[in-house]
Amino acid sequence: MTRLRLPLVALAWMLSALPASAQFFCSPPFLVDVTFAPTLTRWRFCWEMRPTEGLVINQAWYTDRSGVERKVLHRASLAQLHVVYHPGRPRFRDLTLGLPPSVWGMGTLALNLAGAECSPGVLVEPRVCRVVSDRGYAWKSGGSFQRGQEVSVWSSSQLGAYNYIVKWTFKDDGSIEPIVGSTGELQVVDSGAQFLPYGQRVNPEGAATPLVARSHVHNVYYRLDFDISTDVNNAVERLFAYTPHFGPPASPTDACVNWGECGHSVQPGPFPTELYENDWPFMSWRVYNRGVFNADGRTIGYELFPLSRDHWDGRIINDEPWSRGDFYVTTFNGCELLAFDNFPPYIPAGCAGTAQDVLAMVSGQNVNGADVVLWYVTRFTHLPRDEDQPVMPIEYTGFHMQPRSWRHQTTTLP
Amino acid sequence: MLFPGVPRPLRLAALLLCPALWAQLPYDPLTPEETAQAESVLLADAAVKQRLANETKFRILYIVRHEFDKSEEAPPRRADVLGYLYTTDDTLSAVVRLGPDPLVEALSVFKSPKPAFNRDEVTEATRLALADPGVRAGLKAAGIAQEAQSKLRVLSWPVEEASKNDPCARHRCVALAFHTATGPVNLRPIVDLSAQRVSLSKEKLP
Repeated sequence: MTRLRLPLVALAWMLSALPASAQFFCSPPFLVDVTFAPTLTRWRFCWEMRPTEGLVINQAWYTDRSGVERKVLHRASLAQLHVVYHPGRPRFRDLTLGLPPSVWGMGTLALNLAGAECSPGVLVEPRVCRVVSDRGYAWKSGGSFQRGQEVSVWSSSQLGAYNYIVKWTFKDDGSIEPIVGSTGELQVVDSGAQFLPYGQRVNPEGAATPLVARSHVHNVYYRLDFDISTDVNNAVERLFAYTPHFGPPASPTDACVNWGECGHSVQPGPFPTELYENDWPFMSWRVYNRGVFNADGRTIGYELFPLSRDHWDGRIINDEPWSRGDFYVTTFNGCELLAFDNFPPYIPAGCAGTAQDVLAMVSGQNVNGADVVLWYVTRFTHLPRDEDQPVMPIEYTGFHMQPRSWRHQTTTLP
Repeated sequence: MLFPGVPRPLRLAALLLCPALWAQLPYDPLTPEETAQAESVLLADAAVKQRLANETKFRILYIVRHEFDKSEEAPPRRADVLGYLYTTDDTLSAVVRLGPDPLVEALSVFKSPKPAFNRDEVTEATRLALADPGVRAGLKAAGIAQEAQSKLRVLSWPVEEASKNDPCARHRCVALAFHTATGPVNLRPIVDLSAQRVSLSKEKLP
C-alpha cells in the first residue's frame, strides 16, 4: 500500500503544481511566489541567471491588500558596473570586456553558495539564494502597528579581488530595493610614495615604502523595463524635494514665501522625449500609466529614489559620454540591454548595430505614452580604510522603488 | 528541468499523463536537455562544421536561453550559444531554435570583442600556470611549498592593454594572481590559452 501511495502522492503534487505555474511565466524554482502572512499582499516574479548581467528579474507582479494584481516590471537587471580608480585609471567595466579589456560577466563568475551562506533562506539553485524575512514595522501609529516582510533573491560573483553581492528585494508594501554589496579584497594596492595622493596608506607608517590602497568609485547601472499595468501608455515625470535654485536664498526664509519655491513639487506634465538627467540636489522620478487610475482618480505609478553613498564627481572622459547622467529614459528596445558595451557577445547575436551606449539610445523618441525603459545609476565612492584588509567588510549601494498612487491608500491595509 | 529531485520514472509518468507539462514556460532557463540539444544542433550545422574543420581546439563558453522579443506571442524556445576557436582566435555566436524543428537561425564569427572567460578556461589556465617551472619557482621563492601550491586561491582577469607585438593582443590570455590566507603572492603569471604558454608579468603601475 505504501509503495503505491508514494507515486500517487508525488503525481498529485506534480499536477497540483501545474495550474499555479501555468498561469504565470515560469515554473519553480525560477518562480518566486510569496504571499506575505502579515499583510496578505503578494509578489510574483521570475529570476534567471544570465552570463553578462547576472541575476535578472522577469515579470514582477504585485498584489496589494485590495487583491488587485498588476504588472510592475517586465525585466530588471544590472546594466553595467563601471569602477573608476583615482587618478583616472584603471577603469573597469565589470560586466563586459570593453576596451581596454578589463573584466567579466556577473553571471559567468557567480559562485556556488553553501547552505549556511543562505540561511534562513533556501538555495533555489547553487548560485542563487531566496529568503523571506521579517522587515520590522510596515507601519506604526500610536499603539497600532503592522509588521512587514520581504522576499529577496541574491547571488555572489567573484570579479578579481572583489566580490559583489547582487540582491533584489521585494517588500510587502510593493516597494523594491535593488542593492549591490561590495566585499572581497582590495583590488588595487600600489607600492610607492607617489601613490599617496590617490588613496589610503595601509601598511605601518614607519615602513620604508608606503603601500597605498587606491580610492575609486563604483558606478552601478540598472536597466528597468517598467510595464506599469501595461507595456504601453506609460510615462515618466520628475519630482523635486524642493524647487532647485542655483545660488543661496537671500535670507533663510525668503525661498519659502511664494508657492512652488519650497516643498515637494511635481513638474507639470510628462517628459515628451527620451532624455538623461542628474539627481542633484535631490530628485526622484515617477513612472506611471496614463490610462490606469487608483480609486481616487490618480494615475498609478512607481517612484525611484537613491540610497546612494555618493554621486558622480564629473570625471567624464571623451570616450565615456554615457557617464554624464544619473537617470535616463528611453523607449523599449529588446536589444538595448547594457549602459555601455551594448554589442554582441554581451547582448544576443542578432542585436549588432544597436546603439552601443545609453546616451546614444537617447535619440529624441517620444516617451509620453510609450513603452518606457528607465536607466538608474547608483554610486559608491570607496575611500579604503585600514579595516578593508585583509578582507573588506561588506558595504552596500542601491536605490528604492516604491508605489506612488498605485493605490489610494496604504497598500498593506484592507 | 521539471520537478528537479523527483525520480525520473515519476517525471516521465507525469509527462505521459499530462502532456502540457512537456512545455517549458517562457521565462524558464534552458533545461539540461535543451542545452544538450543546442550544442548538438550547432555542431551538426553545415556552416559551423566548415568553420571547425581545421580547428584543433573549440570550446563552448556558455549556452543560455535566448530572450524573445516582447511582441512575439508564442515564441519558440531558442538558445544563445557562444564558443571560442583557439586556433584562429575567433568567437562564434549563434542563435539555435530548439524543439522538434531545431535550426541554427543566426551565426556570426568575429575577432573582437573577446567574450568573458568561463570557469573551465580559468581552471585550465591555473593548471598550466602551476605546471610552469617559472611559476613554481616564484611560488617557492615566496615561501609556498610545492604541495601547498595547488591549494592557493586563484584570481583571474583578462590581460590589459597588451602591446601590438604581444601575442596576447590577439590570443586568449588570462592573468592570474595567487592568494594565501594572508594576502596576494607577488607573482603575476600570464597564461596564453591559444598558444598554451605561460609567462610572468611585472605588475604594471599607472
